[in-house]
Amino acid sequence: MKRILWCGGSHLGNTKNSAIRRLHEGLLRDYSAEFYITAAPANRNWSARGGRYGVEGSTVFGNRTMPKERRDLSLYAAIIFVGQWIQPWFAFRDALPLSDALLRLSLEGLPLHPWITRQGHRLRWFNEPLALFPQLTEAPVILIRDPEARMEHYRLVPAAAKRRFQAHLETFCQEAGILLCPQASEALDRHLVTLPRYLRNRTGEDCVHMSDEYWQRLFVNQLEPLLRVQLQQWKGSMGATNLATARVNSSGQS
Amino acid sequence: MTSPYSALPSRAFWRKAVAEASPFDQSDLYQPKWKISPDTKIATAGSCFAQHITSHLRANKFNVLDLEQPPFSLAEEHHQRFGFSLYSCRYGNIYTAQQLLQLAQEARGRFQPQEPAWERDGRWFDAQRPGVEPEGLGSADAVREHRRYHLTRVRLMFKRMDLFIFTLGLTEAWVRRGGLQDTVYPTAPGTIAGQFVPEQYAFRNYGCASVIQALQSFRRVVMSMRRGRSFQMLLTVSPVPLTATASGDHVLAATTYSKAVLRAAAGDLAAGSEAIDYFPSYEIITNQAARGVFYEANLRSVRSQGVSVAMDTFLEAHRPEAQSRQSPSLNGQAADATPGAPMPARIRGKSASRVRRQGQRAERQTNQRQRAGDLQCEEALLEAFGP
Repeated sequence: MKRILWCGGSHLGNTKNSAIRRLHEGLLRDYSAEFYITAAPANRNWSARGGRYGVEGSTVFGNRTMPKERRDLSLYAAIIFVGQWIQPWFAFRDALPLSDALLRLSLEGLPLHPWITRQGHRLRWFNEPLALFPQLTEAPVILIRDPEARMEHYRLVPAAAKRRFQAHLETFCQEAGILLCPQASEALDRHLVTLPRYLRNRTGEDCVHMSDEYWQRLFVNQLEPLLRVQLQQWKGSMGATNLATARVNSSGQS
Repeated sequence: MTSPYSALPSRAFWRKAVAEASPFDQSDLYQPKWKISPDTKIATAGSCFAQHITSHLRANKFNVLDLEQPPFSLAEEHHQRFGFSLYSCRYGNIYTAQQLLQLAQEARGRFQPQEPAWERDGRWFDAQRPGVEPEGLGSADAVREHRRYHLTRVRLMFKRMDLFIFTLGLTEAWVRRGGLQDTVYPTAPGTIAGQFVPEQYAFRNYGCASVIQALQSFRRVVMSMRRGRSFQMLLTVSPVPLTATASGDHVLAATTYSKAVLRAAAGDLAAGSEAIDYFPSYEIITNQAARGVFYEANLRSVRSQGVSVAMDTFLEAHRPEAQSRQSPSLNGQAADATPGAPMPARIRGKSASRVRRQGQRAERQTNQRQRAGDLQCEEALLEAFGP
């Protein structure tokens, strides 16, 4: 059976038994789902300390959260990141108006090299999966960005800065060979943060994680159309054969 | 025979207190009126030298407000170039008391600068803080929009602070004539942006009475924003000489005049109010006993070791348990009096390793600033116009 590799952290965890399962019961019923934790604070902190994936051919391994797991990226029909630290609220602060120069310098290095504060020191860490994985597979790599957090300081950030971040992300994805899943714009308010009714925790204590309804809407309205195009392309170029089998046959190796 | 000098302490006598004393230990020079507690909310502003004060206060864990912080993802190497992390708000250098008063009036909504935006090569710069956007903005409207936000933060700062530390730098300024009140600028038009048009701009060299009046008016305006709630003010005079003077005098005479006016004004104000104190950073750096050793070879920029002596003196007065003793100020040893000569180092005091780390951090911050192109100082740009 063909396989899809789902990557991410807490957002992946929130969607695994809801939106992802429904997708694999529907549009992706011919594909099995595998999961790989590539985000999460543990991996981020490990990366900030210099941790890097081991690579053997198209196989990656050795991250902090799943150190014994290996994933041969060439064996998947698609690799889909749910989240993966795409967090503009770590770039900007409050309502400070930002000049072109400040925006440019603030976005420099994102999303591959975000900042983190550890023990009072600011460090840059490496969002390695976004750089590494597209290089090791011919399958489409899709990125679903983190939902727009409902943080007060982020709400105040000028809309122009938020749009500029999105444009910057689009450029990055284009250059990296990643398909960027469109945002669920109907889930955003006029400040371009997610509507409160989609918060996973309605008390408002967690302004980052979204409900099953949010993800279901995004998967149906944004991800599925993107996947349908990809599925058509897969069927057109490869028939219904397993991608890995096709590669093995074409290389003449067993 | 008795004399009114008979019972005075040694600090009252030049021979003992200056000629025979070490310039590296001037702890007797500063006896603060009040102590600064860890909770005291401090706002800082002033001329270039004030940047040293701000960074040392922060490094030594004083509660220095920063109400206009940079974007999280802006690398630290860019902060100062864009006017961040220099003071408590992103106003850039404030060289004169009149400029400070004007800022407070503007934040209060009682003043609008004439010609708020200056143009250079199709880009626009805030004439009141031309150094905070080195690439300028796209339009004069953008300058106004950015300034509106800035003034909300300045207003908040004036309301929140308990103590305002202001470094007086200059008496000379360029103003735009017209209306009920001149508009004072931190730099002459044409230095960073704008065009100098002689009919529109005038030179001012403020006297002592003007400086005093401006600072007293400043206090009144700020207190009106605080609904009458008082605040403490600590004045200091920058020991950095003028880069250039438009007074017609020799720059040395102009510098002496300027510093004398500022010192006298600060002294008068401190003598007249329990809420105002004076910190003698000027005296520490220019102390004759130091023989100029606290200045760089250009005899203008203050060496980091000189800043350390000044800040050690400040710390000893306000935080005797956490002072940095890495400077030679406390070992009583004389040092080579040549400007630029190396300083001996010795640490003493409780928690010496922690104190050493604090001092090293402050030193590192100062050195980082110097490696990054020194203080953000528009006044120093005037050098480029010299022969």
